[in-house]
Amino acid sequence: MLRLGELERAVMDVLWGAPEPLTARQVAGFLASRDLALTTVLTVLSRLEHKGYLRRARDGRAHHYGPTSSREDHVAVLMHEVLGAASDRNAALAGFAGQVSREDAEALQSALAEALRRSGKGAATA
Amino acid sequence: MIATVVALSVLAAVLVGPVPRRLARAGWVRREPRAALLLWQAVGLTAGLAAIGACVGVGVAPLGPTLPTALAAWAGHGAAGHPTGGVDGGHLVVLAVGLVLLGRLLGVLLLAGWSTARSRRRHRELVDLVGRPWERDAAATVLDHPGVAAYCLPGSRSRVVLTAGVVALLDDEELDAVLAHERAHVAERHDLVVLPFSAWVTALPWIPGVRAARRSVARLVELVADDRACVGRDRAVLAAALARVGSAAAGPDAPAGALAARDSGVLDRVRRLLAPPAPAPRARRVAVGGAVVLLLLPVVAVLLPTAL
Repeated sequence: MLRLGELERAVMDVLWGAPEPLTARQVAGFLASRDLALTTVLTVLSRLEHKGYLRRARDGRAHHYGPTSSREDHVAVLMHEVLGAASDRNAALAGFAGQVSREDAEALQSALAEALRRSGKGAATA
Repeated sequence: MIATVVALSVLAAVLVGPVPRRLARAGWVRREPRAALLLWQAVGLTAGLAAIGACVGVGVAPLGPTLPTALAAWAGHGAAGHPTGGVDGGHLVVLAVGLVLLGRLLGVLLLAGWSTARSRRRHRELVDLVGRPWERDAAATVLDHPGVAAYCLPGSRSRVVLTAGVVALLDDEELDAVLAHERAHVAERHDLVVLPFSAWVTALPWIPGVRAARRSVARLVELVADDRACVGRDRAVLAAALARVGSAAAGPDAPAGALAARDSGVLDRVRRLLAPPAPAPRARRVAVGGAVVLLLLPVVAVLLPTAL
């Protein structure tokens, strides 16, 4: 299970790094150091396509696979789920610290100075 | 039966109105957050059971002297082919209210659990694809994003996620404290503690006591996680991390309107870490005892007429 997840990551890394969609054989070529069977690569590609992370296009006789979104866009979606005001924060439990009001922000600064002094780091980095 | 219905109605009214209002403002809860959480859970469960029990009691009152006997008679009539189980008129309306309430509370809870699990699975899948293991602690995942955030995805395949922004903002010691805080949430399944309260806000959004309960419970799990993260650690380190992250979140980009609503008590948490309040053993004993009594009260109310 872990290995499959790790393969999916590696395949996505290849396709995010490529300037254009690639065939399964080309993907396997980029992952040559892993010595994967072509069928394994095809399995991973179709799993990722099924989950909506890849789009497959037929070009002549070969199927080319390309990411549906850039890595940055995916990260932005995740961040919106965690930080976004509209989110009811379904997936993630509330983040480590929420936003504070402007009045509290000032008090927070003096509390930070005290925390740094107490943990022996002085106020220099505040 | 009248004694049962009156007792359950009063119990429900008290647990939905004055009790949440007072508990939400009580000062001792930040000294004993665990006991306060237990008490909130008992209040929520007993309030629901009492309200449903009162409605059902009024509904089936004509069929028997006590709730168990009347319910048995109602079920017997139903099995014998009476569509309403022998209840009619106003009694039928109140019975329906009770059953709808029961269905709504359970239904919304199941739906919330299912949709949370689904969106969490999708989120985790994406985190695994786009994140990278943190160099200092491979069990944590780092997302390349300048925003300042640290959070966990609880569950059997849990993840703790840091953004590049928070890794840049905090020093190693502070990041370890943040991870300990998030892992405390995961270890104690705080998501399951919060879930029913969030679900019941969805089910009964117009009741202030229900909203107060959710706010307090969400805050209390943070205090519990803070305390657990500080075992064997300088509390000032977690305080510094919290103050830095909170200040970053209050940056100029944050929309003014959203600020007050999203205030999660960061300042109070920092102050609590810097000046830990003394434990309140008496309040703790009263809270735990109160929780046990609350859970027993509906049973007592149902059995009361039998004993009299």
